[in-house]
Amino acid sequence: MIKIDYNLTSYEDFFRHIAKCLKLKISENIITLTPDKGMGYIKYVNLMNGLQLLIYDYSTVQDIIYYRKKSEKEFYVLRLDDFTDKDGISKSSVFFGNTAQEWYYMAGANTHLRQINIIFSKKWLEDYLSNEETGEMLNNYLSLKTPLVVYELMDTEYKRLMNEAIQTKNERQFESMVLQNRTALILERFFSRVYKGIANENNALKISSRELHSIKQAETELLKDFSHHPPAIAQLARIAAMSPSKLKILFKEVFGLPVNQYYQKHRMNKAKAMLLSKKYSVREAANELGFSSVSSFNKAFYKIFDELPSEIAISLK
Amino acid sequence: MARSFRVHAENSFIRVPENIGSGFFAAYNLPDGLSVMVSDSVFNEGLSIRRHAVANQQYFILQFNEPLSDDVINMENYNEQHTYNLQKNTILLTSSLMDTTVVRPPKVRTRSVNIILGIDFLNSFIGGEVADKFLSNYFSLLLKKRNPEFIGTEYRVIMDELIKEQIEHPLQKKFIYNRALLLIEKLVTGFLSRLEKNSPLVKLKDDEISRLIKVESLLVKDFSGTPPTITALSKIATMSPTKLKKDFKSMYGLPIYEYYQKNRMMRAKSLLLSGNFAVKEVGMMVGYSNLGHFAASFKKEFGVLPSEMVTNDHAVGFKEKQKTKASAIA
Repeated sequence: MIKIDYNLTSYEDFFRHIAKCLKLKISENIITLTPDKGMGYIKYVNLMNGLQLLIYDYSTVQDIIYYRKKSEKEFYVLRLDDFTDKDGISKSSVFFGNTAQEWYYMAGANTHLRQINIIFSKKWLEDYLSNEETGEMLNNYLSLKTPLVVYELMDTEYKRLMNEAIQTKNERQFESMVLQNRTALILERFFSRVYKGIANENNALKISSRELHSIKQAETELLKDFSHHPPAIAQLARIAAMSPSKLKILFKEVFGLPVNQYYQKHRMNKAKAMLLSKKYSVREAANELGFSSVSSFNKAFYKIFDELPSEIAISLK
Repeated sequence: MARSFRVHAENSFIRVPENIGSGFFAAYNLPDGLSVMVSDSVFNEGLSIRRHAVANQQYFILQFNEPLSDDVINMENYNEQHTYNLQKNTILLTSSLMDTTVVRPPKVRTRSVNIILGIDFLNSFIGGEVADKFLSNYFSLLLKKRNPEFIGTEYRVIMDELIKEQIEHPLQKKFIYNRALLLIEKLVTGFLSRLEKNSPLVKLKDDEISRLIKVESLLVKDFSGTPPTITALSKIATMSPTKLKKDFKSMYGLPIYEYYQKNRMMRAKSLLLSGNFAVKEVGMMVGYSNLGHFAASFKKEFGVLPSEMVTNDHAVGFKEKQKTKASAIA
């Protein structure tokens, strides 16, 4: 298995990093996989409107885990994936995340992966939305819901756009023009769907920026340390300077989950990350994260991920 | 423009006054110096729009015009240099460095999209080398009074999205901007790839081209009945069925009936997405009495059933999933 760790927000740098991890050479912004590694290519594209793209179209002989670590800089990534396994079964999805978060995904061996990654800064997005009537609302929503993670199945329209962008039969002379247009359409589609999503959420968010700030403080406190009991709601309410019932309502509004579920989710994500790093055994991870026994850790882990911690450890060997 | 119609332009929107015709013009200023004007209008009298050359600034005016009439009306002074008849030059690219006159025949409803863009933007968008190749070849054909490009399915779909009195989209500016660039992309790629294939088009006479345009507009005008037969079409085009089939394909890229079917499905798709009709109604509107057949043909074209198309666009798959990470790794 190859593990690629990164927190780079420049795809140009990340692209070089991938080449280094795979021990392959870059030629004209393309990494071509050699037969001992797999088949296909990874391509870096810098568009004239300030967007950077990474396009993958390959299958490898080894599993590859892409592990994005938190970055200080706030960038957004919109990613379209299409995995086809060796039995021809394919799964495709749209992912959107913020680089202040960590995430990872694995491309299994012998799986044909086609992917478009688009990265842009927070500033870029603000400019992008700036002269639209709905722009302010979208911007507010994104900062309110930060870290917003969207994960949805890809529909036919996205698939069509992705195919048109990746299609190799495109003549080279038109490549940058076609890519720019497809990328623009993908972004347009994504953000207009986000907008429709907000419009569908009837309960318009009524929250002041001061309250938002307080809620975020409470959240930081909540996730500060997993090794002890989480702070009680009453304690968080004091930090946020609001009543416990108000805190509960606003917390769920902003972060999408009730306080304790949110805590548990992040705790288990941390657990999984620890196991994947191979630096911790299951017992150590359980200890570190404040579980009184391995079995209660196992149970909590299974509830979130549908698999046991030991299964993760095995799959890494 | 508003001034010459003697009306007041409100928010870059003009409604054509009744004494001179009907319809509307809507204009949008977009980023990167792009501006777009769309229109669906009829004028009682012929209209001649003259653009005076400006020497200090070069920009391009790209027009897509679709006249909804079967007859090509011959205009006088069509033979003058830099004067273009919209009925023949349905797609027309001109430069601000030249005086140009565009004439519109009277009483013909015309749907149009005009795009103005600077030369620097064009160069960076399509790439300097490609831009040079495209522009030099395009203008040399145009000077020879050839018609370099025609409105076919792909253009029409995009035009349909733009030609509306009011474009309702959450990202309206982006929506228009992206469609304008898409039109430019189609023009450049379409024109150049045809050029490189040593375009058979060049061999067609101007007159034949306008007859083929007429055939095409007849073919896609109405989908509710059975399509005209090849024999009927060949009479209209006054050419033999064999020649019609061959020339149609070289101009529009598809055999006549495949072209018809494709447009029919595109129409169905846009009707469905408008959200105003049930699947059944749309099926009837594009001439299917059997809904099963409709669904099957639709699926063949777009890979999804008409019903899926409707539900899909409403479902906003927007959730913060607990299992994001888990499912990504699965």
